[in-house]
Amino acid sequence: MEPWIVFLVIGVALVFDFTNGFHDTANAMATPIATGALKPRTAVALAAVLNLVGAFLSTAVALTISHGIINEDPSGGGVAITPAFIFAGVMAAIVWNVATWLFGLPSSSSHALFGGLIGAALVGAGFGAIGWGTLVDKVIIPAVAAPLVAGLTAFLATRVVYAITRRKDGNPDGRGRFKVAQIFSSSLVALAHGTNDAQKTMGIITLTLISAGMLDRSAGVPFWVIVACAVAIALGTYMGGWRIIRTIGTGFTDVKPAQGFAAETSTAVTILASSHLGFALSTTQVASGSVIGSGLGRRGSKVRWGTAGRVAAGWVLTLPASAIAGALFALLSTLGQVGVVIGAVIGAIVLLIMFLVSRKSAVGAHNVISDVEEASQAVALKRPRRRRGRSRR
Amino acid sequence: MINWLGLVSVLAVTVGGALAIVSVVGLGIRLLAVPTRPGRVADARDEEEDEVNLNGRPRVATTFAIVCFAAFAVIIAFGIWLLVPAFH
Repeated sequence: MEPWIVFLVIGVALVFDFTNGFHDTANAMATPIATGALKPRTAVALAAVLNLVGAFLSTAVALTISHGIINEDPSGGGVAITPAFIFAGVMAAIVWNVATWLFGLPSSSSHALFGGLIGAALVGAGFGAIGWGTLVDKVIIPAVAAPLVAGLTAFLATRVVYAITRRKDGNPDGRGRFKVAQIFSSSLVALAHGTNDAQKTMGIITLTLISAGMLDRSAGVPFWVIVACAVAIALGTYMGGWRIIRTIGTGFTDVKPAQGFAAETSTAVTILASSHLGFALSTTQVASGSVIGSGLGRRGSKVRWGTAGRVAAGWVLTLPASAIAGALFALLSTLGQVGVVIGAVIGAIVLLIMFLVSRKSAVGAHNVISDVEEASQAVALKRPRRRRGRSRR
Repeated sequence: MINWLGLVSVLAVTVGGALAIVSVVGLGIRLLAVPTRPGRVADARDEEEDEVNLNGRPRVATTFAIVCFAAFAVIIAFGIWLLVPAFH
C-alpha cells in the first residue's frame, strides 16, 4: 500500500472527526445558548475546550472499527479492513453529516459511520459480512430507546424542578438563577462528548496505520494521533453547527432556564448511566429526547412535533443513506488506488456544493436564536407601557 | 435478544439520578427566593421572573441553599470522576 493513500485516509478521518465535533456542539450547548445562560461564542468556545480536554482524558481506544457489527476477519467470510475500505466508510459518513447539517438535523455521527462501513462491507464481502443481530442490538434498539429514556427523564425532571420552585404567594421565584446551573450541566455533556467521540477517530486512524503495516498491533495509539484527533474535534466544536443548535435550542420547543437545566441534567445522566451500565445510547438522540421531554413537562410550553418528526425521519434515514454512499465509494475503490482518488475528488466536490448552498441562508452566532431575541424585544416593548399606565393612576 | 434488564436499569438509574440532581439544585434556588417583600399582592407575572429581593431572607435559608449548591458541586465532581477512566 502506497503511503500517500494512508495519509489521504488519515486526512479524511480527521475531517470526519471535525464534522463529528461540529455536528454535536448542539447536544451540549443548544439549550444554554437558547436561554441566554451563555453567549453563543462563549458556549462553543467552552464546549471546544472541554472536547479537547476530554479527548486527552480518555484514551482507552477500542481497536475495532465497527464494534462487532461487521465481521472484520477476511478468512472467516468477513471484509478485509484496508485503507480503501476505511476510506469508503468514513467518506460516506462525512457526506451524510454535512448533508444533515445543511438541513439542520441533529443526527448521530456514529450511525453515519456504521452506515458507511456497512455499505462498504456489503460491496467488499456481501451480506454475510454484516452481523445483523449485533446491528439490531447495538444500534437499532438503542436508537429507539435513547429518546424515550431521555425524554421521560427530562419530562419528570422538568415537572419536579418547577414544582419545587413554584410559589403560591405570587412573589418572584428566582428561576433565572438556573442559568448558572445550566453552565455546569451543559459543560458535563460537552466533556462526556470529548471523552467518547474523539476515541472513534483515534481508533480509525490507528487501524489504518496497522492495516498498512506502518504500526504494530500491540503498539497502542501513537501520541500524535491523540493530539490530531483532539484538535480536530475541538476545532469542529468551535465552528459550531449553528443550524443544528437552532433546531435543538429553538426548533423543538422554547426553552426556559429551569427547563433547560432539567433537559441538560437528563442528557448528562442518561449518557453517564448508559455508558456505565453497558447499554450505550447515542448522545444526539438523548439530547433531542431530553429537550422534547422538557418541553412536554413545562406548563404552557408547546412542542413542535413537525420539527421532531423531521428529525426522527433523519434518524431513520441515517443508516440506509450513509450505507448507500459507503457502497458507492467502495465500488469506486474497487478500481484500485485511482478509484480512491476519484472518490476523494467527488466527495470534496459534493461537500463544496453543500457548503455553497448553505451560504444562501447562513446561520451563525449572530442569528442562531434570532426568534428568541425578537420575542424578548416584544416583551421589552410591552413592559414600559404597562408601567406608564400604572403611574398615571 | 433485547437486553431488557440493561434497558430497565439504565432507565431507573437515569430517572433517579436526574430527579435527585434537579431536586437539590431546585431546592437551593427556591431557598434563595425565600420570603421577599412580604405583603406584596400577587399579580400576573412571568413564569421566569428572576428579580428576587434579597432583603429579609432568613439566614437559615441562605445556609441550606449553600448546602444544596455544595451537594451539586459534589455531584459534578462525581460525574467527572465517572468520565475519566484513569480515576477508576
